[in-house]
Amino acid sequence: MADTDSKGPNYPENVKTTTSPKETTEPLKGKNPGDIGATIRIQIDGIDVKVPLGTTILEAAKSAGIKIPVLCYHPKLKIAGNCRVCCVEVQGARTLQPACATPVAPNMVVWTSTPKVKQSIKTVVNLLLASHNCDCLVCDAAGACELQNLAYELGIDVRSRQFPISCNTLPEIDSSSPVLQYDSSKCIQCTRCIRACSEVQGKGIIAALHRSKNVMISAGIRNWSDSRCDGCGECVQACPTGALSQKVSPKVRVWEARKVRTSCSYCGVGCQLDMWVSENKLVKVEGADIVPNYGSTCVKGRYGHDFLNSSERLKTPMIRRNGVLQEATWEEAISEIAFKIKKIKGEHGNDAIAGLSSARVTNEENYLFQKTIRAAIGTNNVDHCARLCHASTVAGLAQAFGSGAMTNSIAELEHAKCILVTGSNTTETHPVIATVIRRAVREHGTKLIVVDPRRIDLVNNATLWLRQKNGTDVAWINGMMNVIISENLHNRTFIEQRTEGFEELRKIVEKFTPESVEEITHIPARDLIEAARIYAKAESSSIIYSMGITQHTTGTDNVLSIANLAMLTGQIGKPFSGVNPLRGQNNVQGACDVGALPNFYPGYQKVSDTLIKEKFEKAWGVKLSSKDGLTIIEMMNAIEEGKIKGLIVMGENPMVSDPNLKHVEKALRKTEFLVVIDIFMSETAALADVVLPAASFAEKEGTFTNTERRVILLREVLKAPGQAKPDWQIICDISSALGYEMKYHNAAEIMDEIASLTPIYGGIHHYRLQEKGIQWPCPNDDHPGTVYLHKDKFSRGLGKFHPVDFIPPDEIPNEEYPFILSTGRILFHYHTGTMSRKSVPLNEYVATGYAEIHPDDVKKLGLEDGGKVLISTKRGKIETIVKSTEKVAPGSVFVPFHFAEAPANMLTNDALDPIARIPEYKVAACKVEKPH
Amino acid sequence: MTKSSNELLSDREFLRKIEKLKKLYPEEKSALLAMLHLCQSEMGYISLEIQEFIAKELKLSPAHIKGVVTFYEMFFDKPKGRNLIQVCRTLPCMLAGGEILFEHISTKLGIKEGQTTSDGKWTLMTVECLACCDKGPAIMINDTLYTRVSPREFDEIIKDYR
Repeated sequence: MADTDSKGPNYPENVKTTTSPKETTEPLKGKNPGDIGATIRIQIDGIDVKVPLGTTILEAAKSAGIKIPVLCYHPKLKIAGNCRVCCVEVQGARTLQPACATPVAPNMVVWTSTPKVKQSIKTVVNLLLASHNCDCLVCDAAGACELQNLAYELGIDVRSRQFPISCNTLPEIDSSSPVLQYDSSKCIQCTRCIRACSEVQGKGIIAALHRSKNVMISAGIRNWSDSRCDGCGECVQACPTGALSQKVSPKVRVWEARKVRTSCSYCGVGCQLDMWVSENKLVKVEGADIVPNYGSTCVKGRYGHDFLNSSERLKTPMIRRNGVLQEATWEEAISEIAFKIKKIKGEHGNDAIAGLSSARVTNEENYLFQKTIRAAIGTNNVDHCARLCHASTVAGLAQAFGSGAMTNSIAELEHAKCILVTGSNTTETHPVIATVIRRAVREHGTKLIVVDPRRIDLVNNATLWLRQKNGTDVAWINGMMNVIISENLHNRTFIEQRTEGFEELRKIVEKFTPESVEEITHIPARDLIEAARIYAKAESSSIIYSMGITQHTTGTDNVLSIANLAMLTGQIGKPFSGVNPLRGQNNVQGACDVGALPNFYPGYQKVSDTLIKEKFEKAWGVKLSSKDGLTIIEMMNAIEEGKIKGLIVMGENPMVSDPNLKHVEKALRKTEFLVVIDIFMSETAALADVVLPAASFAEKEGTFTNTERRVILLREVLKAPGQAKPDWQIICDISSALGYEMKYHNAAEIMDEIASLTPIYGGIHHYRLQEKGIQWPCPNDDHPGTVYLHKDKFSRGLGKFHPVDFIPPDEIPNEEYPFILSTGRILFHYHTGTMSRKSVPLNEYVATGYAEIHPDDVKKLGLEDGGKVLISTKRGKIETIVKSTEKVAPGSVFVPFHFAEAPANMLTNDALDPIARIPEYKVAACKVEKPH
Repeated sequence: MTKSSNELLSDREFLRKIEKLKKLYPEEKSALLAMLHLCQSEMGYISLEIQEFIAKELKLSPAHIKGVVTFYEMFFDKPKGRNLIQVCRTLPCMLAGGEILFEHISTKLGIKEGQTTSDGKWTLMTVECLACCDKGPAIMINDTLYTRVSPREFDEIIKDYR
């Protein structure tokens, strides 16, 4: 801790993500608070130790290399001081002092292993063992149990127990949770789980019940599963014994398993995971105690990776023969692809082929994929699902700031004075970022403003919740700016020195008075004014947004408005303040960064720029097309029109993810030749002519770029099943077979090539990423990376205000379709479910699709909670299950899109944002009725 | 004294009192103990449904409420008889004949510690100290304290309860 603080308080890289234990120790009596931080000298076991005032004896001893045993202490948690195994002798003190909770004082003399101390520790451990169920022979925690290790170290003789056995008289095993179980007979009441749930996760669900030796912990009032526990497992990781454990026993001892650190493959947070492996099976996952997640994960990261062991994984290449997919060799599959692609190229030209790259695979693979499409095939028809999520961010923020990514780091959020969350159900889509937000509110008094049509979980922690009508975002943002300007809360200096176009903005927001905004958005004028004041006045304000802002026909407008708001108040370009679009998929940031886009080469270098094109032609040794390629939805349309004949899909599942599925299916069936590279037989792969089995993220090396622009490493945890191969090797084979030779020895070599062509990745090499990764821009090998963007100067020079007027959504409710439909994700599943729906515990939480409908509407329509409902739009209909909840407003329906059997995207509107070409997933007019 | 959870939750007077308690403290959650006392006085115990209701009112985890209810011995999470007899079990009372008194009560009512008579009239408990060490043995029936109680006096006392 000492060295962290010395680097200066304003360097966010060093911001501790949990409350420092120092803050929680009692104030030093008789000391001037200003003294805290001053270095003092104390003596521990005869060794002189210099530490800052405010340090505890435990931390001081640690810095001197002296080990003091602990049980209830955990570096991430506040001090409880209840186990007493860390008691030490302090010269002059009446009794032994708990080292974890006692701050050092000048000239303190401490002894950690006198006979008195040793006797005390032994007594404490003996007492704990008297009430502990010592079934170490069959306990999963054996070898990793801190109590067992301590007893071993102290040489405790369990046979001659010092104290009579007094096990908890309520020895219940609560295994009602899908992911964890609690055995009270092994619980030592250290309360680490309670503190982890409350302080780290900000949930505060777990509590201690009963008293004395009967104390046990519980999340629910009857059992674990009747609680709001979402299974993140922070408590399991915090438990020092086997009391809280993973429900499915790994049946492997710690010393038999191998631990490999890698990056999570679910969302864009990029959590670092420690994966435990034995005999090529994944047995356990733990959060790694390092940036960005510092040990935390969500339920998917910790317990949802069992799909890796699934027997349904694709293991051999397959070729469609006589209408049926049949197993084939790699040689056959690759030559089939080469033959068909060459044939289409010859007959219809290069632009008759398109490729869908993937936000699920590595940077290296995305780079090679777009290189193959551009250099080997000769077209810019390459895109990926970022088109469907943050295309409007990339377009909008590039116009306003010159760069379309999260401006700040995740850790900075904890210290922002105000956080405005809009169009992001962070708890479900970026769970670990939500814990940071909750901690900010609970531990640091951050004001949280939520603007969302749904009563999302974060509303529970919010100072203010504005419930806007779906699709009216430009109006409320303009309204906030109207208030800010009329109350003189805008940052004139910032506007003058750093921006352009303010006058035009002022004109347009003039008419958006709070009252007129209330009419459009249904947000009470009073609340809007209050929100504007909080946001503008806070010392630092951070905006978090996601699909609720981007997935509209006015997506780019929404993003521009958010940029306007941040620039108007100068809440950008400094620590803890900025505009932070949360990227959805593990590597959607990276896939964009390395050029899996139809109009950009790697590093957002324009395809239409001749100099750039020449640079890539020289590097790749081939002539390139200067024509922008087609975006996803345009590709589907082009296939239908017969302009595109061949499609290569890597790790995407448009048959579930894309809007207006009927249309997508028609298009995919129409392709002359469809190649799908995937780890499972997805709905899209089932339509393919050639299916190639890929290695999953855990079976290869490479990098992802998380939502905070941090390039993080993947390591090979398992061997790929059957003949499955890493995507980059598959792409090399395809490219070479097409006549464009591609050969790399490893992923690191590919990254070196990316670095040589991509200025923002200029200094990014695998050897530099080993520990914490690097945040781009990182222009050269000596550059440490960039914690927050736009300091002193925007990427484009001056920030540009874009005046934006309010335009209603493409489809508004009418007599026939009176409800507003929006779609999105839930915590327990991920995108098209290719991975999460193969996970046993995740399906125990949620196994089927549903529609959230307000109880009033449920009643009015004669529906039943848990009963069936038919939802239809102009484009299609689905039958699903009613979930009666006040989370949605009356007149609104929310349908998660993970479930192929009730696909929400049968209903969604494929109307596009004119600039970003992103479809309007968040607003459609629909009909809700009882199935006939 | 013996309302069911549902009756209580639809009792407007009760809900009004809950609202009032919520506003009584600088932080809402400080009202927890007062609410638990209120509920116990209305129902005789604090059912799981009521615990969940309080959790929702105070925006706390239901487990936290249960933790408080099960921590304090004077809160009951299960139904008890109409009348609660608490017999002091500490040393001064025992020296003054508390043990004999307890045995007498137990035999007379036909219940052991923690049990309730089949007619639902009596629940028998022991308690750590009633702060009457100079006047033992001491017992408490509901909210009334009785000191220097002999077995015969006990038989007289209980005639007043129904």
